[in-house]
Amino acid sequence: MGDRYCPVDGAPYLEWWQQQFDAPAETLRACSFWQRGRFSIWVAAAGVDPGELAPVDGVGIPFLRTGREVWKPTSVAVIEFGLHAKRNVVDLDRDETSCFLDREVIEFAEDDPRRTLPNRGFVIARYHGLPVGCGLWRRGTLGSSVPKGRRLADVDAPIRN
Amino acid sequence: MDDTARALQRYKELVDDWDALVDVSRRPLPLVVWQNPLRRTHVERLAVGVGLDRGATVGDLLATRGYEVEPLAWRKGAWRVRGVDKPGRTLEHYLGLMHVQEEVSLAPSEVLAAKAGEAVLDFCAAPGGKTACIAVGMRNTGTVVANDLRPQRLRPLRSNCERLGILNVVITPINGMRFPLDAGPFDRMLLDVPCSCEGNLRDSRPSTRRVRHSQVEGRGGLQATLLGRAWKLLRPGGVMVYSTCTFAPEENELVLDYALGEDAVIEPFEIAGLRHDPGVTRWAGKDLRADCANLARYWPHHNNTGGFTIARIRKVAANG
Repeated sequence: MGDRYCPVDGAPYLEWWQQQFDAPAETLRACSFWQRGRFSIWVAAAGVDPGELAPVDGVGIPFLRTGREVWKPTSVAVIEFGLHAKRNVVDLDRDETSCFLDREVIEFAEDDPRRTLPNRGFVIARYHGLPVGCGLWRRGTLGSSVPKGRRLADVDAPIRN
Repeated sequence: MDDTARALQRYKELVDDWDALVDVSRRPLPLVVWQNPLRRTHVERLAVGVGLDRGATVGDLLATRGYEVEPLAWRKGAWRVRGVDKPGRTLEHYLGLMHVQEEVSLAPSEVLAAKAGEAVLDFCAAPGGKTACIAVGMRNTGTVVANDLRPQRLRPLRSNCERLGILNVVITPINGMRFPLDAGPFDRMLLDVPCSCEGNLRDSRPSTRRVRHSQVEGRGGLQATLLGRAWKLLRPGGVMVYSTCTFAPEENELVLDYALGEDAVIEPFEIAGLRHDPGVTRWAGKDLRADCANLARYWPHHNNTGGFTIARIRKVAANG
């Protein structure tokens, strides 16, 4: 809490997003990017400026964690910007979506066509073409990165289709 | 006389139908949700996915799940919902397609009417429902500084902004009484001050049902101090909305009468479809500013909501 948010050049993050998800980045290009601590990149509207205000506890929404070898997009960023992604996307049915939102690991059958994804990496999980969160794909299994505080255990009942 | 009647007894002379006020105050609040206009494409995609028209609303989506939904008469894109206990546990909520909020607490952002690109300060912002209303109303442009003293109360604010895809909010945990004056000027400002919460009697959460009458008079000093600090951050010509979820003139008209000077005008306003009573210009034997009559007091029995009091104040040149 209360870390500094420093404006950063968004170009490397835009390029990563486009490559990772083969997604147009027009919306992101119009945004400003902020770094909090060493490894947390946040995205905000273009005109947003905290100026000299301190401490600051949030600028826009968290976008990317860059602390490890593989960068990890946040689930809120995936939901916000992932509508038009074409690569590294896993479409889920109702039951799979329920499991995913309840943070369960989903294992795909050997003959499931979705297993053609690369061996390991962060993907966008979708339901009805709608991004529902970031997942970690690992040799035919999908781990959920939905934050614990947002898990949706009883999603099955309200979803009709 | 029960606790509810006792809490409202002091308003017998102020309200048109005291029995109706007490009666409705014993009943739970209707649940209200509003659709996030920033997520129109998301709503469209989910609607098509579940077999509805492309133009379906969040209200339509909830209706397909068995909710009874009733559009609000005074605000587009918001519904009273019945039939399911927890709309916050739905996919629509998780995806940020909608937000759950008490109906009358949608009014301050309507009155503030912030425009795209403006600089707005929400001075006592947590838990952030009103901040979200303001920010999405500005279509993710400009800057909304959402400030609140207590960091733990900022957590739900931050979480809501993230869930709703709000990109134009800066969150600050700064003591309002020491908010840096060089952070201004702001075009508009919401000052939803800490209050005795009389208007929350219908809220089912135990923490909000305790009316703290000792605070009705005790809070005035803090409210006036916050107003004085915030006023210095407002640009000339700018608009401040001062609001409380309480009825007490001691926390509304008396604070404004004490804290506002000649450079302030309390402006009249009307929200079509949401009835209010005017403010008072005399209370407890004291004559108040004439423009205190332009305050709006929302009694729960008039609109079947919680209670609120709102003032819209414009900053003018001191001699003009």
